[in-house]
Amino acid sequence: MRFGRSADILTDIDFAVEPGSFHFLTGPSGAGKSTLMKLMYLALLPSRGALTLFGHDVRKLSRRDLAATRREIGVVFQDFRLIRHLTAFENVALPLRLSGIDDRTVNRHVPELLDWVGLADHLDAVPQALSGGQQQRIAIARAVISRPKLLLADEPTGNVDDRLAMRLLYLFEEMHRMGSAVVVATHNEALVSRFPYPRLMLERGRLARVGGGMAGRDESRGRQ
Amino acid sequence: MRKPRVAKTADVPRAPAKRAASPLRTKGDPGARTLMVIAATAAFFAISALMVLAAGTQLVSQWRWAFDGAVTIQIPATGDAAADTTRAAALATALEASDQVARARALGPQEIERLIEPWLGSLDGTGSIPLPRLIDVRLVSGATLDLAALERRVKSVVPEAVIDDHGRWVQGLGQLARTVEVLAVTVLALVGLAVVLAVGLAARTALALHRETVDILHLMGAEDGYVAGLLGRLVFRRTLVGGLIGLALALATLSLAGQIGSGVGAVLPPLTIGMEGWIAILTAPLTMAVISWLVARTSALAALRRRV
Repeated sequence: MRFGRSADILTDIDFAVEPGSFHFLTGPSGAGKSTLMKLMYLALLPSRGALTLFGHDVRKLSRRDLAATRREIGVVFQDFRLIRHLTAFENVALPLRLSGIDDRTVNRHVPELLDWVGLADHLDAVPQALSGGQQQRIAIARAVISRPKLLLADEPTGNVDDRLAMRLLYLFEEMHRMGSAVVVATHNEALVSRFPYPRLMLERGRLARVGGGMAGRDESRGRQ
Repeated sequence: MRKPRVAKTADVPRAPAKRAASPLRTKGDPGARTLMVIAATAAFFAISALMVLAAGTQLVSQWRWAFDGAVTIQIPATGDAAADTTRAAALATALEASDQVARARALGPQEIERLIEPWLGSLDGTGSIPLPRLIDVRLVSGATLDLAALERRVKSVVPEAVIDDHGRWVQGLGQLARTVEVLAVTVLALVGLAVVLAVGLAARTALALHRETVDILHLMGAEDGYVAGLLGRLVFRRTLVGGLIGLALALATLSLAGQIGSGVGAVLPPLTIGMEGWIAILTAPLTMAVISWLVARTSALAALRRRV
C-alpha cells in the first residue's frame, strides 16, 4: 500500500481473518496499523495486490456494492467519529437507518444496546455533553448495532485507563461470542497478553505473525 | 470487572417515537443564510421578470385585440362644429353600407374631449378648441382590409378625411412584445444560470463543510445517493424558503408599482397578469427549489464519485 509516489506503507501483507474469530493487531506507532485498518474498513483501496472481504475482491465491487460491504463492517474509530449534533440515540441508530430498518425496530434496539453499554440514561445526550469514555461506548454501540460480520476497533484503549480498557475488550469479546469476527488494533501489549487470542503483529509495514488461529477458511482476507 | 450483558427488553427505557434527525446539521451553518439570500434575490428578479413578461404579453394582447380589425377616420375641424358633426354622421352612414364594415360610429364631442383630456386637461365641453371628428370603424370579422376601396369611399363623402388603420401601432406593438419577451426571457435565463451556479457551489461548499459527517456516513455504508439526497433536501428547503421570501418581496413591489401606476391610469391601461402568468409566478419558488435540488444532488453525486 502506498500513497502517490511515496514509499510503501504496507508491504507483503498476507493474512486471513476467519468468521467469528478474534485477533489483535499490534505493533509500534507508525507500523501501519491504522492504514491496515483503513484498508479493512474500506476507507482506502489497495494500490496493488488483492483485498478480499466476504468472498469479494473489493477492487471489483461497484460503488453500491462497496457501500453494502461497508454496512457489514462495524468500526470503532480511535477518535470515535460521532456526529456531534446528533444525540446518542441517533448516532447509534444511524447504521440501522442506513440499512433501511424501520423506525419501530430502531426504537426497540437502540435503547437496548445503549443500556448494554451502560448509557440507558443518556439517550438524548449529544456527544459533547458526555465524557470520553461514554462517547467511546456510544461509538462501540454504533459499531455493533447492526451485528456486523466484521468488527474493527482502531486503538480503542488508547485514551482510557486500564479498568475501562478491560471493560471495552469484554464488550468486543461479547460481540465475538455473538458471531462477529473482531480485529482490535492496539499497541497495549500488557492488555493483549491478558486475552488468549491470536495476534497480527506489524513492524515497519510488514506482518510478523504471532500466535495461532490464522489458518483456515477466509471470511475477510487481506493481501497487500 | 462485571462483564456487560444484554438487558431484557422490559428493563430497557423506551425511546420516544420521533422523526429521524438529519445527519447533516443545518443550524448555525453560515452557508444556509447565504444560499437563502441568494435564492430570495434570484426569486425576486425571476418573479419580477415573469411579471413583466406576463403583464407585457397581456397588455400587448389587449392592445392588439383593440386595434386588430379597427380603423379610425379623422375629419379635420372646420371651425363649424355643427357642420363637422353632420359630415361625420354622413360618413359613418356611408361606411356602414360597405360590405367590409361591421359598424361605423361617429364619436361625440364629449368622447373626443375625454380622449385628449390626459394631455390637454378638461375642456368642459366649451368648444374652445376646434376638435377633429373621429369615426370608429369596426371591420367585419375575418375580412381583409381593402384600404384603397375604403379610402375611395371615404374621400367620396369627405375628401379631406384621413384614414388611420393602426398598422404602424400594430407593427410597433409586435416589436414591443418581442422586445419585452426577449428581455424577460434573458433575465430569466441569467437568473436561472446564476441559481444553478450558486447552488452547485453551495452543494460543493456544504460537502466540504460537512466533510467529517459525510466521511462517517460513507464509512458506515451510506450510498452516494443517500448523502446526495441529504444535501439535495437541505438545498431544497433553503431555496424554497428563500424563494418564498423573494416572491413576497416581488408581490409587495408589484402592489407598490400598482399604487404608483394608478396615478397615471388615464394614460396607461391597468396592468393585468393572466391566469398562466399567476401560475408561473406563484409556482416560481417551488420550481426554483426543484431545480436547485436537482443541481445540488447532481453536484454532490459528481463530487462523491471522486472518493473511494
